[in-house]
Amino acid sequence: MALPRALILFGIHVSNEIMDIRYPSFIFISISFLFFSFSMAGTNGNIEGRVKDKNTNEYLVGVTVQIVGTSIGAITDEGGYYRLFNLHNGNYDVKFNIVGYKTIVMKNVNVQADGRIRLDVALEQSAVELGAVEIFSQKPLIQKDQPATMFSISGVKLEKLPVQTFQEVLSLQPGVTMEGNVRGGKINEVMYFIDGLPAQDFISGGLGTELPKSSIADMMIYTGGFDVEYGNAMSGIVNVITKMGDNAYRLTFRFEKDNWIPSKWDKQVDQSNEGELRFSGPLLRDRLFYFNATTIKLNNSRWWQDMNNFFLSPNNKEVSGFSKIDYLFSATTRLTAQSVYSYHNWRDYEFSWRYNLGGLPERTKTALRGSVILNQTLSDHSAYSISGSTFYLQNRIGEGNKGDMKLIPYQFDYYLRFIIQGKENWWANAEQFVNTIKGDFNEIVANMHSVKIGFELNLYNINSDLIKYEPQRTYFGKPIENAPLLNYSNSYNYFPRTGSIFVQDKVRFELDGSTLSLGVRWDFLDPRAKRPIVEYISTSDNEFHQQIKGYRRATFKNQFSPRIAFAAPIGPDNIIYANFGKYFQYPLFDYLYAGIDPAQIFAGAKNVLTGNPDLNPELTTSWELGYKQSLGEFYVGSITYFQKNIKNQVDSKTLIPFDSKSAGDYGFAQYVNNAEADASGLEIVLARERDEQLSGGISYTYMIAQGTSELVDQTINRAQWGFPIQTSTFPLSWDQRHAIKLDIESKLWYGIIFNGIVWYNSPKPYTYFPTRDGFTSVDSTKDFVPNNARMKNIYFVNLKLSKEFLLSDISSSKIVLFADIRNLFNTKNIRWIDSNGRIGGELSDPSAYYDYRRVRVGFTIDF
Amino acid sequence: MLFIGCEEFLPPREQPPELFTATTNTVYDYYSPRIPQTYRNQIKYTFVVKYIYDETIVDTLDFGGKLTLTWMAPTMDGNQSTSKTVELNESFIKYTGGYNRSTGVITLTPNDSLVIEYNWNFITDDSTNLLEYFPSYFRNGQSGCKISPRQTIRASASIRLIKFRSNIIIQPFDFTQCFFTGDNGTPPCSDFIWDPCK
Repeated sequence: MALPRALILFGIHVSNEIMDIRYPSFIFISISFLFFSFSMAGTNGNIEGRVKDKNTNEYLVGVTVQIVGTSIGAITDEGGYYRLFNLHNGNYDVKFNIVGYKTIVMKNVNVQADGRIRLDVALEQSAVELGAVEIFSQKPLIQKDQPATMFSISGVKLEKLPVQTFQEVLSLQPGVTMEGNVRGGKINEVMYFIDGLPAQDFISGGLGTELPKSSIADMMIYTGGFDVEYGNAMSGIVNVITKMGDNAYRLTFRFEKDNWIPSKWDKQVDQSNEGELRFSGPLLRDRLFYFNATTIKLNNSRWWQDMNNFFLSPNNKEVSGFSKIDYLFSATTRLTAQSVYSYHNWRDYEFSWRYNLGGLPERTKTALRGSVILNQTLSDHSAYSISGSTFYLQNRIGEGNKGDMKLIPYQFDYYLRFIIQGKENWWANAEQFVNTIKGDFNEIVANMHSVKIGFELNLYNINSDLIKYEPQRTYFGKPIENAPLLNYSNSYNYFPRTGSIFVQDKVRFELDGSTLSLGVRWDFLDPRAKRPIVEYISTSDNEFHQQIKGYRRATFKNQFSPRIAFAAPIGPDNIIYANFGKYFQYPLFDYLYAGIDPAQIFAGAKNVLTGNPDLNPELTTSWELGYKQSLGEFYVGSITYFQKNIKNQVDSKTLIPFDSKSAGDYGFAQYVNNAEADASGLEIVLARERDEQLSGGISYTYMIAQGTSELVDQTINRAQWGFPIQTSTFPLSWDQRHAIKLDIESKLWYGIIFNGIVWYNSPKPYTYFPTRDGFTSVDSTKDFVPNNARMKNIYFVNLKLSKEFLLSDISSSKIVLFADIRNLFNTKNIRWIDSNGRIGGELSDPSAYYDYRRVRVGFTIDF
Repeated sequence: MLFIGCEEFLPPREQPPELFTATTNTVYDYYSPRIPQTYRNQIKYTFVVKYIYDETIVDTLDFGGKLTLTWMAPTMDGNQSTSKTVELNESFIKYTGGYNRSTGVITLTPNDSLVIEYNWNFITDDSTNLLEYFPSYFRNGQSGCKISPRQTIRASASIRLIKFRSNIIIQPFDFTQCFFTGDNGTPPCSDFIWDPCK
C-alpha cells in the first residue's frame, strides 16, 4: 500500500500550480490564518481515512483534503487514503474536493489528543461545479482506537458544568470518589499535566498550581490504562490542554459571587467573589499570538462566621493565571512560550480552634512555571517536539522567619475539647525548583504503525525547612497532658534527578479497524543522598542510645513499565478493549529526605519520623476489560471491569519501642515500603450524545478497595496509641462500594441551558471503637479493627443554569448570565464520624458534613 | 425553590467557660538563727487555685503536674542547670476544703480554693546551688553579710486535679529579689534585715 501524501499548504499566493495528481507536491491557496498543528506529548491527534466514489465504491485518488481556513491539507493516494497529521486538539472543518465531484465539507470534526480519528467519505459525481455540501460531523459514539477508559471534557463543557476548578471534573467520572481517588488508589496517585508538562507538587503531592478555568481548551482524563508517554502515576492522568491565541481579538470577563444578599438573611455562603479576565489575539498577524487568563478569588471560607472574629476579610485570597505566546516560524514550526502562575494565601480552620483561630498559622502557596516548546512537523508522517520548563513552588506555613518562632504549648479548655490559648507550633518553608527537558518524536510507519519515542529529564532542587511540634494524643484525639511534644522538625536540601525514555507502537489494523498498542517505559530516580546507618544501643531498660555508624549512598532506582492495550470492533456498533500495564510512582521527596541531613543529625537533631532515600517506587499492576456498544443514533453504553494490585506502598516502621528513651524521648520510626492494596470494580456507563436538546450520561460503579495501610504514618500512629501493627487488609477509607452519577445537559425554554449533576454514593467506612473518657476504649478486650463500620449514603444535586444574550446584531459580543447551585436540596451529607459513632465527634464539628447549599450568581461578557 | 434564609449549621458560639483562676504568692524566707539546723534561705511559693464556675464538680482527685522554677540569668559559664522542675503530688497540697482523703473524691463548689505550697532552696535539677552562682557583694563593705543584686526567678506550673481533664496552667510569674549569698550555715547576715535590697 502506498503512503498517503499530505500537504502542508504554504504561503499566500493565489495561483494554482499544475500538480501531479498521483504524487502532488504543493498547492497554494490563500489563507487567513496558519492554524496548523504541532507535536506535543498528549496534545495532538490525527484525522485519517479513505475517500471513495459514492456510486461505484471505487477509492478516489487525488482528492484534496483540507482543514478549512488553514494551510493544512492532504491528497488521497491511489488507495483513497489521506492523513491530516499531528493536529492540535480541537474542532475542525474538513473539505474534500476533486474535479467532477460535489465538494463536501465535514463540519466540526473533533480531534482529541492522542487520537487517530477515522473519517471516511463518499463523494458524489457532479457534472457541473456546485457549492460545497456541508455535513455536520458528529463525534463518533465510539472511538475505536481508544483501548482504555478515557474521558474528554472540552472547555465549552467545562464552562457549563457546575464546578469551580478543573480538578473537580475528575470526581465526576465513573470510578472516581468525591475526594479524587481513582479506582481505589490514593489521591496522590493522579498526575496532572498542563500541555503535556507535569505541574505536580513533589514534596506534598497533588497539583502544584491552579489554572484559570477559561484557559482550558480540553481535558483528557485517563482512569484506566494509559500510554507509556505518561509516567510517575499509578491511578490516573489528567492532561489539560490550554487554549491559544489566534487572529481574532477576544476579551472575556467573568464575575460571580455567592453573597448578593446580606449575610443576616443568608448565612449559607462563603462570602465569595471571583473574577476572571481573559484576552487573546495577534501581535503579528498570522505569526505571533498571545493569550492570557487571570482569575482572582476572594472569600472568607465556609467558616466565615468564626473567621471574621479573628481576621480581616477576605482571609482566603487566590490569584492564578496563564499566559502564552505562540510564534510561527513557518507552517511547520512553532515556538511557544507559556507561564503558569498562582498565589494563594489563606488561614486554616479547625473547629477545635474556633475560640483561638489566631493560633493557627497563616499559609501561603506560590507557584510559577515557565516553559518553552518547539514543535516541528517534518512531513505528513513525522513530527517532533522538544520542550524545557522551570517550575518553582513554595509552600509557607506561619508568619515571619524561622528564628521568630517561639514554642508555645497550647492550652485546652478544662474538658480538653477546645484549644483556648497558645499557637500551633508549626512553621515551614518548602521550596522546589524543577527544571525539565522533554522531547518526543512521532512517526507513522507503513500507514499502520504510529511509533512514538520520547525522553524526559528532571533536575530538582528540593529545599525544605520545617518546625513542627505536636502534642501526643490518644487514638480518640484527646491530648496527653504532660507528655512531651512530638518533634517532626527537619530541614534538608537535596538535588535529585529523574528521567525516562519510552517507545510505543500503536498499530491500527486496516482489515477490521482494531488497534494494538505496545509500549515500554524506563524511568530512573537518582536520590543523590546518603542514608545514615543508625544503630540503637540499649543502655538500660527501654532506653537506647542512637549511634550513627556511617552513611551509605542511596541507590540509583530504575524501573521498566511495559504496557499493552487492544481494541477491536466486534461489529459496526461495538468494540471490546483490554489493557494491561505496570505503573509506578516515586515516593514524595519528603518521604525520602525528612530528617536525614547529616549536618542536622550531627548537631543532635532527632525526629519522630525520618525519611528513607532508599525507598522503592510504589508499583501498580492493573488491567481492564471493557465492551462498548452504540445504541441507535444517540446512545452509547459501556461496561468495564478493572483490577489493580498495588505494592511497595509507603508506610512507616518503628525501629524501637515507641515509649523508649531515645530520639528526643519519643521513639523513632522511618518510612519504608511495607504496605499493599488491591482494588477491583465494575463500571457501567450509558451516555446520550449528539443532541443539543438533551445529552449527558449515567454511570454506576461497583468498587472494592482494600489494603494494609491508608496513611504513610499509620504504623507510627498505631505505635503511639499502643495498637498492634496492621498485618491484614481492611477496607480503605475511600472504599466506595456503589456510586451512581448522572449528568444532564439540556436546552430549556427561552434558551436557558441547564446542566445538572446528581450524585449518589453508598456509605464509606469508618472505625467504630468507642470510648467513654476519650482515653481508653470501652471494651479493652476487643481488638482495634479499622474501618469496621459504614457511614451514611451521600446524595448531591448540583446544577448550573445559564442564559445568553447577544449585545449586538453585528458582532459576536454577548453576555451570559448564570446561576451555579450546589447541593440544591441542602442535604446533610456526612463526611466523617468519630470512633464513638458520633457525627462530628464530641464537639459536633460541622466539618463532619459536606458543604450545604451554595448559590453563586454571575455573568460573563464576551467581546 | 427558596435559596435564601437558611442558616449554616454552625453550632452557637459559646466560649468554653473558665473554671479556675490561679494566683501565685511569693515570699523570700530567710531565717538565720544561731542553731544551724533551723537555718532557712529559700523562696516560699504558694499557689492558690480558685474554682470559679457556678456548678459543683464532684470527681476523683488525681493530683499531679509540674512546677518549674528558673533563674532568669545570663548563661552560666559551665553547663549547670539554672532551673528546678518539681513533679507535684498530693504532699504539696496545703489546703483543700472539699477533699475526702479516704475516698479520694474532691468536691469543688463555687469559690472553693486549693492551696499548693513549695519551698525552693535554690538547688537546681543537677544539684547546683544557685546561691554560689549569683553575683554578690559584701553588704557592709569588705566583710560580713554577702548579698546579691536583684535576681529574677520565674515560676510556672501546670497542675492536674482530675484525670482526663485539662491541666490548670499557672502563667509564668517573675519574682525579683536580692538574696543572701554569703553564708553556708554559719550566718553572718542578720535575719532582722527584712529587705536585703535596701
